[in-house]
Amino acid sequence: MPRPRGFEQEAPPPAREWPISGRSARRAQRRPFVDAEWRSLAPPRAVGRSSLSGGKLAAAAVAVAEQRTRRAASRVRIVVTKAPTACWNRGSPLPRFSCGLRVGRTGRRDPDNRSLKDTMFARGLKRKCVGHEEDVEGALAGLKTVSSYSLQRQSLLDMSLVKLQLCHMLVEPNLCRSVLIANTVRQIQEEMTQDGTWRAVAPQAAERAPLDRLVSTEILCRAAWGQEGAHPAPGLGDGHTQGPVSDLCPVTSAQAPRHPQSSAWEMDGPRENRGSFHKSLDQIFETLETKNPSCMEELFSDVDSPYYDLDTVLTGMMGGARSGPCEGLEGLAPATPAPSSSCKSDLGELDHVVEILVET
Amino acid sequence: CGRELFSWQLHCADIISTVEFNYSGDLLATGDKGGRVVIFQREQENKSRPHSRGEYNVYSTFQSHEPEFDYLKSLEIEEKINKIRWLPQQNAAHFLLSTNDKTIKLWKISERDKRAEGYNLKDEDGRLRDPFRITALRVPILKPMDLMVEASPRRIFANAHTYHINSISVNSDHETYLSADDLRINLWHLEITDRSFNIVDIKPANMEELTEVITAAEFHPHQCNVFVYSSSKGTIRLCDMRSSALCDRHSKFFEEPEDPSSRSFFSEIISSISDVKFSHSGRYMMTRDYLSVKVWDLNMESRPVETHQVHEYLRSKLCSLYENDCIFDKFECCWNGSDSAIMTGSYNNFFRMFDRDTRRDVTLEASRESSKPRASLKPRKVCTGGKRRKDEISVDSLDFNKKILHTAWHPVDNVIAVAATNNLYIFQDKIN
Repeated sequence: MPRPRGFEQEAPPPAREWPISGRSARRAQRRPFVDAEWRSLAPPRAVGRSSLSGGKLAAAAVAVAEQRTRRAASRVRIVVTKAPTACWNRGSPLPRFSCGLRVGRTGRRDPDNRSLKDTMFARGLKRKCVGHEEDVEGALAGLKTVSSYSLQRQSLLDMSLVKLQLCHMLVEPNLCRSVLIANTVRQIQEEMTQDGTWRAVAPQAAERAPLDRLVSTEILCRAAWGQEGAHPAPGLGDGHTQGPVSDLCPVTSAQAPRHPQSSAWEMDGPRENRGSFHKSLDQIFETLETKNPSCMEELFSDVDSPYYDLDTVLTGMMGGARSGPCEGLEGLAPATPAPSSSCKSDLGELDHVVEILVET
Repeated sequence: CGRELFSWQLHCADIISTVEFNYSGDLLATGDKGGRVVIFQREQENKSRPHSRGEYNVYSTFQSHEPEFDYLKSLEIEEKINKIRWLPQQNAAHFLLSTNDKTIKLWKISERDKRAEGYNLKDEDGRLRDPFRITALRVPILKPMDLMVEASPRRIFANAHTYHINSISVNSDHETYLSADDLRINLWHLEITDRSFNIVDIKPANMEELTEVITAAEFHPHQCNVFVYSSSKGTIRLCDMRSSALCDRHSKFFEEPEDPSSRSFFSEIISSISDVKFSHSGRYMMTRDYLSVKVWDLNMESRPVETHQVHEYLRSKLCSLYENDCIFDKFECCWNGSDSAIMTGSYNNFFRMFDRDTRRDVTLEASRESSKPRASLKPRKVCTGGKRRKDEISVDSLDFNKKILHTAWHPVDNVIAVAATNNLYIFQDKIN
């Protein structure tokens, strides 16, 4: 693999006088480092053919610099630029966020003229809207009955599951990250179990011990440390080239009106109220394991609560005088979520998401 | 008497992934995402150039690791250099260990400034001489030549890690070193490449029960039998290799009890330790988790003796940081030579320095502006709420793409190296 790139040094500005204060024997007491008044001075050294003006010092500098340049040049080509502004991060990619849900609304700029994408409040992906008017109403009604804390917890859970699914698709998933996300998911599940949230939906599962319902790390992140199943890349790649929306398989299950609470877990309409927690998880993981483009779409479409609103609510909460440390979701007072009309997603954003997924 | 402060900014073709000074501080090694190692050397103080002392210039560049393909798992192994550690210098050559996710290499960096001239069988340009033309014998003589720095791989330690290597640490006996991946720690001898000893293994029999991974490990600077390793749950275990061959049972267990009032779903993630470093004295160790830096006394396991908040203003943004994966960023930390100050990085190209004696801290920025002549490196401040003052930056304007994960401090002087994505900044505080 060719490695033509080298290390580029910023050239100094034109010649300048150095304060020749001489080396005094008296050493000032060393101030603590944090006190130091840092001043930056561009280096006066000449590297290669620089524009330093003449003078003995400059000549000596050039000689030494040339020696070093030659030495270094024998290993790699060093690009010397005259102007300090010449090469600045040109062509080098900044680290990308691995979570595809980072997609924000482009075009808006905050007062500091920075795209929203770069800042804290990158909005999450706008979910595909349910589509039917009655569903929207039903969802709204459902939302009102469920506390926003549960919604947010649900959103966090969904976000975590999607992250784990992206684990499946990454070439070499980061084990530490996977374990941390899996632990978070487990925490949420524990709490949901203790809350009795799931018992309400699946009474026949009440006799199960909570531990049974806890998802093991292995299931959550199977591909992370056990290579099983088909590779997702080809599937996604095909989906991408043919057009993300058109190629996505239609959802196999009926899109029946859902309980907003259990919406994330239900893949099939008819089995909606029957499915126990465990079963629903199995469905999820089946979906995850098939690793085709439709599963991502399913995962997104099943969540009613607007994903990005987690942030809105959190922001809103933080804006109101809270001086203490944030307690995350647990510290939030119930707040009315934003209307779900804004959860309609553009095809363009879906495009973008699939593109990101394909590229990661 | 004046105070001269220098800064250098160097642009790298790739993202810098590790920075390390050697034991004397004369050499500074950086590794990048493309598998390259670049070594800088400090210029010797020279009477003819009094103002140039202490500059770091490129000394050697070499390709340490190449991307590989694991055919068994159908996975590509990244060539990104995760860590570089220098060996103490024992002769004219310098040695360092560099590692990517799977393979550790020992490199020898040596200078050549003489070459032999006057061979009998070869011409000066290397062509073989016709033996019949040789009428007299001569003794080759050594002549000085332009200084050439060569790097050659001396040992390759491979195939010992199933998971990604996150740390390497050279032992104080200068003969062995450890390498740690997510679940195991291996002990190597520098001379032996086909064997390593597994000294810690936290892989559960049933992978379904995996909830904790190793995040960093380091040998004690003076006691060759002691090492520590940190975990993703915010705990540090100190192990003594004399107690047993497999150090699964720790000798000391450091964990700070959780504050129940600040518990959230993100508590565990932000407690995950990204770096652990012993102090030069060997009496303390420092750990970096997502929001803070903690200094521990090795004799007290119950809680740290100091806790320094790095960017507490991010605590209320944890959900967004989780969403964009920034919460998984692994920041490093470092001590200064006298253990009186510690430094670590943050976002927006900010880095923080804490003075342990005076209990003061400062936030500085590594940026182009700081490299302008006569521009002073102003302490920065992040505004957390309410009215923003003129020089402050609000939390919402921070650029989370610009993170400083890797910093290094000269072992003796006040020279620091800060890696900001593709750029390396060297700041030097010199008293004239």
